[in-house]
Amino acid sequence: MPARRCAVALIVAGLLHWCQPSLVVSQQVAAQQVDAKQPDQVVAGRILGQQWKQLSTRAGMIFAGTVIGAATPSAQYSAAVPTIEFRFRVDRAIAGVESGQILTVHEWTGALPNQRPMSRGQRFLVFLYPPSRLGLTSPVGGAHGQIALDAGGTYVATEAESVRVAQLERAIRSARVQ
Amino acid sequence: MNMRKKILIIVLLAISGATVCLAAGPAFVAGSGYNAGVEGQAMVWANGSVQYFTDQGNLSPILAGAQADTIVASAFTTWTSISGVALSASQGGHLAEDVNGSNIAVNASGTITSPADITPSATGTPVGIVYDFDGTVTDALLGEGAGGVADCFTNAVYGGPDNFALSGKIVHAVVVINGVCATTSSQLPDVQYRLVRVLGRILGMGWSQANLNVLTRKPPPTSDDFAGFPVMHFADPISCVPITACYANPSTPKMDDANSLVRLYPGAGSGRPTGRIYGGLYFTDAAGNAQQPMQGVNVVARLLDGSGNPSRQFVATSVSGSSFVGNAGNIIDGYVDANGLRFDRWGSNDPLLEGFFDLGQLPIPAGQNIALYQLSVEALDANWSLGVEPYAPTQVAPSGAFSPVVVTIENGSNIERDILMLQSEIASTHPGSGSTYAAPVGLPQGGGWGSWISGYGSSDWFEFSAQANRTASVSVTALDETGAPSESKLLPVIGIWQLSDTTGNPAPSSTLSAFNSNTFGMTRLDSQFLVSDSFRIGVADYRGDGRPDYFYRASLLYSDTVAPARISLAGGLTMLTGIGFSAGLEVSVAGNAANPISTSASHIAAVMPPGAQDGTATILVADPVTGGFSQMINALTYGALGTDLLLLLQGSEPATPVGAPAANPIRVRAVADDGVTAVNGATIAWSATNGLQFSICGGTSSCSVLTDEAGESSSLVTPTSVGQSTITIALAPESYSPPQTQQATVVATSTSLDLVALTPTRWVAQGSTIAVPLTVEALDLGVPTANVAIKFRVTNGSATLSSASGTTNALGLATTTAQLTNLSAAVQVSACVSPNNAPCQTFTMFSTPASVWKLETVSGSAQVVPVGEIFAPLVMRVTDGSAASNPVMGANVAFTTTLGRAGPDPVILGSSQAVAVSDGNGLAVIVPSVGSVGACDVFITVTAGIASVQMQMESVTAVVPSGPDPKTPPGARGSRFIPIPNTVETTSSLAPAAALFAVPQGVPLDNPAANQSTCSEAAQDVVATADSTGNPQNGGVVSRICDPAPKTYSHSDSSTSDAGVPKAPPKPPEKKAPDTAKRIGVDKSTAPKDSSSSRGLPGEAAPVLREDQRGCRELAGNGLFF
Repeated sequence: MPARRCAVALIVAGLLHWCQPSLVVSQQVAAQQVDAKQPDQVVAGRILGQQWKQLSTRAGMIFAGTVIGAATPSAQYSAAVPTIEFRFRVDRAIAGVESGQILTVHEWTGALPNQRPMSRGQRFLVFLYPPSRLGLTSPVGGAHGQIALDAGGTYVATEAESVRVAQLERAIRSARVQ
Repeated sequence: MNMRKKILIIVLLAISGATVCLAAGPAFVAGSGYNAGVEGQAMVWANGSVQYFTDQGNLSPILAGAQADTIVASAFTTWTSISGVALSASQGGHLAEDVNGSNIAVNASGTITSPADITPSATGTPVGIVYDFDGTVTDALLGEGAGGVADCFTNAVYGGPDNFALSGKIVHAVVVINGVCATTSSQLPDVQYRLVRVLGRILGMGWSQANLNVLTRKPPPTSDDFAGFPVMHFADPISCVPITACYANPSTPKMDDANSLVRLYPGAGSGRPTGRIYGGLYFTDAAGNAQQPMQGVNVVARLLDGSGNPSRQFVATSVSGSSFVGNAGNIIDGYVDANGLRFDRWGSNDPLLEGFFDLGQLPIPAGQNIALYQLSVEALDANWSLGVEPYAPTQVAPSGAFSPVVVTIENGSNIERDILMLQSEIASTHPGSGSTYAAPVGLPQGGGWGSWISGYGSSDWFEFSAQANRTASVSVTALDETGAPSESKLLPVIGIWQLSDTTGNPAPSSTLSAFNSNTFGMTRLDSQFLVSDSFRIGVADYRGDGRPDYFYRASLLYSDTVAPARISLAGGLTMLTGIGFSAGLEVSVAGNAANPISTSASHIAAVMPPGAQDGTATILVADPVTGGFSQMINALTYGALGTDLLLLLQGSEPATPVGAPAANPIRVRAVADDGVTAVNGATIAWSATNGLQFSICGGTSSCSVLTDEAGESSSLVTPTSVGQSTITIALAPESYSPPQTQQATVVATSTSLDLVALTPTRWVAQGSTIAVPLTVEALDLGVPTANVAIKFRVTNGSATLSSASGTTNALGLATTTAQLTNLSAAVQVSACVSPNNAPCQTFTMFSTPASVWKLETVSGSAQVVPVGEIFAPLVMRVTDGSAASNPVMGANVAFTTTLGRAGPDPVILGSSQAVAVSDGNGLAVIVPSVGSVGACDVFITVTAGIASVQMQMESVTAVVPSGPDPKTPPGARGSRFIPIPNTVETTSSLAPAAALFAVPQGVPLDNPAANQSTCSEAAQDVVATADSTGNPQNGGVVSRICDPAPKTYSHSDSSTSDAGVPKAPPKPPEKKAPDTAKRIGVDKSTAPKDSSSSRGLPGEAAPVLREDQRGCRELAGNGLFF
């Protein structure tokens, strides 16, 4: 198991620590155990949030990927709706994309404040809305749709645990089928 | 630059920086690119006046436009009504349209259009408020479905400033309110709350942290905690729906909010008494004196209540250095982001602001003249306060401690109170001290080091040399004050340049971000060198920061050379030279594991595995713990090269009866293109026509074997059919086309009575006294014939025969022994079938003077053996010095063994001498030994006549693969600063540069195994008696060989027994396991053969082969080796 990462999607911390005090204790205990023995849905709920099924179904593109670029076409800046271009290498495709694909998406810059900053080289499990009629998209639920991964892109590393993306993928696929 | 362009640039700055704004105070601080004098100032609305324009449409079915306007006005008033704030917000009117999904569109050219008065350049409508009645605007801007009710938590209200003037003022912003999230009255508090927060950002307020236990529940919050919990906290738990489920008065600004806004828009006279505490926050030296300012620490002021307890309700915060640049970029990856915009466009580079905090407008309770505030510090939470600048999104853990103090303020006071973080980290002189990009320092010895990136903007620079077609890993692990790996301190990035590259451009090979490895706290760069040159390694902080608590431990893993660069295809001992070696590294060749047997910081002795085929291969040295590795690409040659030559030493044969071996073994030698240097372990492919059988092939007509250390391969040949057979010997035909080849022919005859002399020609040491067995074979049409009477007679020279007559046995063999005494001239012995004295054959024994002898190494010349294990036999061959290199038997071969220690102060620990007599194949064998001496160097001089050969072996302490857990703190404070003698470790993928590039993808190891120990006793050689195959008879030593590897080769060696009897056909060239066991350094191609594959002579005991459950093979008997 890789080392835990300090940085973590806020949703994780939120679910671990808030609003369900009675559940917090059991979750914290469970967090130190091996996730592979826990149902995928339980792990998904803990890592992606209680709304994980909605997150999974609302997204048009879901993948574990590496940020390989963020560039703003200069011509677009003078446009009415300034956009920023993100390029990902899809390392593990879950929905709407293909593994190995270089995915280029455009976001309205006004969507950025709700997101976690992404820089080259970083890896995320990303849930993106289907592109709009303008060709724009953004992470579903802002930062909730950006789950930071470890350097190998294999684990979601939180303060308390490490969960394999593969386990989340099973849960996500299951939710999308239902 | 005209004003239009300037404005455009600032628009770009604003938009692209929207996620990296400064906070806990100002959200935006002007950095580079703004007008002179503006840098470092909070960016606010000019004159504290904000004018907003709302949508013409309705917000939702329950909120008509006018009602929505009321909500917006109320939200603004939340801020503008704060006492002491010189800020006004007014509705300037309405936008020119109802902004909806229909008027935000994309045209045929792909350009997105929207109403002009909400675009960033629409400064005439400074704040545009869009009522997205049906969510279609949100759908269009954020993605399909984003405007749905399910995403109201994040998408109910969004937007922010999108245009800043060069004067450092906010000049435009846009807000979108999603009407779908405001369709019921119960939803309105949430919309209101989110609108207030977005407006707070639009006004220039940053995120802050106070009473974080409201979120963490540690400790459980009280009502006062909620009362002091700022609206402008960074994030909410997603389960806070409605928001009132979490906060009773979510939209009501708290003291921290008010102070933040008042600092941005200070009123001329608020009417309320306030005071101010400001100052700098500093690292300290050992004496507690202020040193470098410390950025990113939350400074908290709490009003003391009447009981002297710090209030949870009346609390204000300021993050140190919030006006100082948080990310300036770095010299390794550059100073501009992917958009070409400078990282330092936000925040000042004025050192005075690096640790500056400002707690202004602290209220004095009504009725009092003074107020007591407790001043304390705390870390910003990496999760809940991820967005709080200046370090967002990666907070830095403070260093040292500060005991809370009480500061007394009175109305209008400005109290400067510096905060000294005692026991904070102290950087001292380190390996990188004084190094610069232009003048890097030499890489610390051993390739590992510990250092600080201390002092803002500092970086470390090291120089080393590498050669082309090598790769290296540089690993850097950030450590905290305890020496534990940390990701809340230094964000290490690594770059490598050619030293001659003085452009200052970003490194052609670099890590794009920190912590790209799977090892916690570690950044690793893997680079390939395309030229041989000197290179520069740079280590810096990703943000361009530098502080006394930015300590790191680093190492370079680089393998440079391998010697010998060519080994047998069966594998063999090599010595790798490089940087950063340590115990526990794994060595492999072409994916097959090697066996490291001795490791120091710069050398690894390793036994390489067998190769797949002749040619070059890549060596990989890898650290299994860190993932770091170094490759020597195509640096090792197995067996033959395409330029090698194949010489035919012996290829002529007289007519030979069918069924009997020809008189002379066919012998070839592989040599390098200089025609002299022997090629050890090259593949020799034997093949023949007409059914001719090769002894080397186990009686078949074709096989591949390996040359011995002298480059030789030989075989007896036995025709099976009358007529001519053509023999083809090829050098590594599977690797090279066309291969080097040699050919020979044998003509076979057959009668009802054929007599064959086995090994009819011998070369015997002149002056020797020796018994030479002479054997003939009788055949009838190729079938051995028994009971044939043979007469032996000395026909030339002086010799005594053990018997003058004999009778062939069931195998058709009859033998006599010629006793030669002080041989001085050639001796010939005839053997004839009696009584007719026909047919006859002649044995010739040439007297070979010592002056012409030459020594060839057959096997075992290069060995490194762990202490306690025995050496493999050292096999030498004496030849007559002719072009055919005929073997000389009966020669005295002296082996002088000296034990000692090489180095600057060599020590001789003892010596011994042993003499062996060469056998019928010219072979003389000893088993080197160091007795119980232990680790030492073994120098062996072999002498025969005037020929002499020297070689060196080693008895070493075995490698103990161990290293420190990379996550284990190396010790208490101070211990980690000891330079690390041995260190070992990319994940970056950049375009290849001229000299090097990063390859798609370490940790120091502190305890390299010693590879030398003191020798204390003299050598004890073991002289082995060679058997017919050259194998030593070493007295029943049992050897345990554990060899999981599946592949080995038949080897080429002498083909006749001492008695001149042809060796029984060995087994077909099956894939045998190589000896990768303790007996390292043995060339399988030349090592004495496994007698289990030999028929052997009558009375010779076959060895017993057992295999245990671990796959270990135990050889009992004569201790022969595979």
